[in-house]
Amino acid sequence: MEPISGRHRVHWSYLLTGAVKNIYRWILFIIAIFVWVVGRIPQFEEYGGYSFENPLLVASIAAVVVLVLAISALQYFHISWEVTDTEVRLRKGVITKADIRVPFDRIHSVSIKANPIERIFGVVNLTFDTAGGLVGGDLVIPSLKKSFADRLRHQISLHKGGNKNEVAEERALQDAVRQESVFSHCRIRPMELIFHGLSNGSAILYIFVGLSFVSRLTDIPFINEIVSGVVETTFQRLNSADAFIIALAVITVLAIAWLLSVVASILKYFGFVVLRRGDRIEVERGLLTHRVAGCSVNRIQEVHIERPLFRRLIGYAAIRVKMPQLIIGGEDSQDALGLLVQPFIKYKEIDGFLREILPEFADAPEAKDGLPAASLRLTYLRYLSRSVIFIVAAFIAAWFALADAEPDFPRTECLSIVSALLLAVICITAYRSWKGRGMATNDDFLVLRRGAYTFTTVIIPRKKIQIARMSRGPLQMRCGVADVDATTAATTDEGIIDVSEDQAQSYLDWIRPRGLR
Amino acid sequence: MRTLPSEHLDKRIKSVWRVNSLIGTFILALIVTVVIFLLVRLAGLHLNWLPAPIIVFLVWRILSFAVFPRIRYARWRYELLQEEIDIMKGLLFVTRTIIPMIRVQYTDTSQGPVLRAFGLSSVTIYTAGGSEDIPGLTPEDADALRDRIIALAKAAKEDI
Repeated sequence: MEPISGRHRVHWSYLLTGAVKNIYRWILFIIAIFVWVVGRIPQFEEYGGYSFENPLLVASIAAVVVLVLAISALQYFHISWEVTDTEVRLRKGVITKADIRVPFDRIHSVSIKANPIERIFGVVNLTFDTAGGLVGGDLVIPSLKKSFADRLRHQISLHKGGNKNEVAEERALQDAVRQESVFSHCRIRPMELIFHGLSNGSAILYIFVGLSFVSRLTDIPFINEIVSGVVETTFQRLNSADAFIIALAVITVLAIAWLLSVVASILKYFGFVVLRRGDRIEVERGLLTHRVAGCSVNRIQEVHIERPLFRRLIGYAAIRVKMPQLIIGGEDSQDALGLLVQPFIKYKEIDGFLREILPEFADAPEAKDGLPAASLRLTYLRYLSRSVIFIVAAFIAAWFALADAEPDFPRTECLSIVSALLLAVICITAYRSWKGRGMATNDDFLVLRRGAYTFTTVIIPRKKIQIARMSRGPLQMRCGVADVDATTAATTDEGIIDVSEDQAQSYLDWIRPRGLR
Repeated sequence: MRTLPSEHLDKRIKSVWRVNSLIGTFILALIVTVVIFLLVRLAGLHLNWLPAPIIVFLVWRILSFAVFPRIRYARWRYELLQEEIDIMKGLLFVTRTIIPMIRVQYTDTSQGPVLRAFGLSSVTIYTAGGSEDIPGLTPEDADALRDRIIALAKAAKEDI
């Protein structure tokens, strides 16, 4: 295969995809201008208001389209990339010029992303992941022919080993061959994909809120009525027929939103497959926007096994790995949290999955040990002290509010029952969060488990712990417990509170390198 | 049970913390005054509730000037061991930090204006995941500490 060299322009379809990207950015701006400025010009109504017969409106839209096309054309002519013997180089920018160079040695992984429009043209975006943040942004080569991108990836992986002499070249070649061969892989089953979508609870509220905003913007009477209906039911008494209709409507909207989120989740994880190639782990997914992301296993700082409430009830978990910094430009918040290597997996299969895909992490111990009773007392104290003030305040406020609104209502009794229920829930949560916490260590791993309803198990290799901490407040000293904390190169600190003092002390001892003990 | 780290900071660090506390008090007071002034002017706030928060504020700032530096000084200990750096510090919450020597990426010494005025220097130890400060050493001590950490970090070997 001929090595790629010299300076190249990106594929011409960038004109189109670039324009689409620009339009996304411009559309809000345009709407704002029309609503706040143009729409308020007195002559605007005379010309015909918001309709296509209004020459002012049509001219403005045409001007914007031309502007967007012109900008993306300018950008197209000013973007070029180049591969030399040692580095990748990207030049871009019309007004603000950027010249980004990344030596092959610094490239940790190359990921591919393509949206539906780009896939029609058979082009992809190539992102080079470097260890640290690059000055001037990540190096992304946009709109590259797929075949070209694959060749480039191959070429870089060949170069990466360093081709100073023949032996090194030979080894690099072997590495490349090894990297190409898939050791093992793991797919997500179609049934599981649907389950994953169904148990995705958080999206519902989000979409509903989004819809209510859209309804304000576009003035769709149907949704607008529902939203104001919800507001009214909470403050006023409606007759039962109206209330029923409104409830029905709300439920319909929620159901639709839920279905949408199910579809979104299925689209997102369609064709999910995680591969182990040599020392790399790679994830491919997505129906509309196809993504390939990956990283080298020895860059993994932490493995998180997450068990949210809904998924726990049906016996499923998600596995996420965390790397230093971000793996791909943080467009997707999910990726910013780490690389999801398994969105939906049965409990029983977790061990098998780790053995298969991440054998390095398969020996982690299980954090079974419960924490001391003193820790439970302190947990109750924490939860209650935080909430009692609020409950009392809410009780008093509600008591007086009800006294004004409905004097006949048995408010003391009702509020007492509600408060008692709240306290019971808080106590149960405190107990569960104590039960859910645990830590364990063996020769190579620290395992932390925590959570009251959503459980998270964090596996951290001892060698990735940069700083170990133990801290105690006055009360904790009296109770003989302490907080422990581990800092890795991944962005967040991981720790749990109120483990026994012995555990915390032995954790500090455990962190020392063995060989020198 | 681990023994406590052996070394203390230089005594002059207490004065540094006091000066920092004074500066902090001044800035806070300035901000609060401006906010209250604006509230009175624009929102027509009454001032009869003011004495209580002012007393709380003053008590807090006096404590942070007179008492906290002593406690912090008594708590602040560090020790450089063959394979780790052991730091203990805190006011109410006492934190014990261990940095394995093998994880140390680099160190530097620095002097802020206040530290310089008291002839002190601080050492910062960087790892791939974060950094730790040891403030309040004489410049000679700080330089020696920095060099020793780097020498030990070079010598440290990973165990497998």
